[in-house]
Amino acid sequence: MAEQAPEKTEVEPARRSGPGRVLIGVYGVFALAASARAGVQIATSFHDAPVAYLLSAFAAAVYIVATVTLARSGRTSHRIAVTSCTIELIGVIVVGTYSLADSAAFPDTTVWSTYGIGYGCVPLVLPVLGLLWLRRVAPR
Amino acid sequence: MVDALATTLIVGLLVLAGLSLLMAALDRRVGRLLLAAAAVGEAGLLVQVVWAVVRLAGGARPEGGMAIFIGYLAGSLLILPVAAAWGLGERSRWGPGVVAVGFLVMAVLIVRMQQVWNG
Repeated sequence: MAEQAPEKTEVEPARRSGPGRVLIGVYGVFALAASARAGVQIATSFHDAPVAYLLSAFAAAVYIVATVTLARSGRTSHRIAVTSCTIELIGVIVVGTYSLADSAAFPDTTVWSTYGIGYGCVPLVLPVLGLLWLRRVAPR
Repeated sequence: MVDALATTLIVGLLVLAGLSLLMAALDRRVGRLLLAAAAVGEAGLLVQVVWAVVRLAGGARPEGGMAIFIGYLAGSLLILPVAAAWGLGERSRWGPGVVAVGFLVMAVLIVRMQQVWNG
C-alpha cells in the first residue's frame, strides 16, 4: 500500500465520481454489514457453522478491499478492484448454488447464501455493476 | 421496539429517499434541502436510539440477541452522516443518489431491527 504515491499523478477517468460515487457507497454499506455479521457470528457461535462463518469473514474482507480500491486512484487499485469484484461474483454464484444444493452445509446463512437473497440479491448485482463501471473508467 | 415509532421512521425515510431521487432526477446537487433532510432523518433515528436505551436499561431484551441489536443501534446513527458527507463531495446528480441510498439502507435497517427486537 505504501508504494502507491507516484500513481496519483496519472491522468485517468475518475473512478470515484458520478455513478462510481453511489457504487462505492453501496460497497461501503456491504463492507460494514458483512464485517459486523461475520464478527457477531464468529464471536458468539463459531462452532455451530465454522465454514459458513469463515465464508462470511472472507466475503467481508473482499467487500472492504473492493470499497477501498474503488475509492482510490491508480492502476494498481484498479487491478485489485477488478480482481475483488470478480472473486465476489464467483463467490456469490458458487456459494449461492452450493447453499441451494446442500443446505445442510449451511445451517446458518452467509451474505452470499441463496445468491444473497437476504440482501435483496444486491450481492449478485453489485459485482456485475462494479465490473461494468471499472471497465468504463479503465486507465488507458 | 415500538411499532408506531418504527413505522413512522420507515415511512419517513422512504419519503426522504424519494425526495433525494427527485433531486437526482432534476439534476440537482446535494444542497441545503437534502442536508436538512438528512438531519431530520438522523434526529428521528436518535429518538429511536434513546428509546431503545431506555427500554434496555429498564430490563427489556431483544429476542434476536443483544449483541446484534446493539450493533444495529450503533450503526443506525452512522449511515446518514456518512452518506450526506459522501454525497456532498459529489458535484453532480449522483450526489443526491448517494443520499437516497443512505435513506433506503436506513429504512431496511429499521425493518431488520424490528425483526431482531421481536425475535
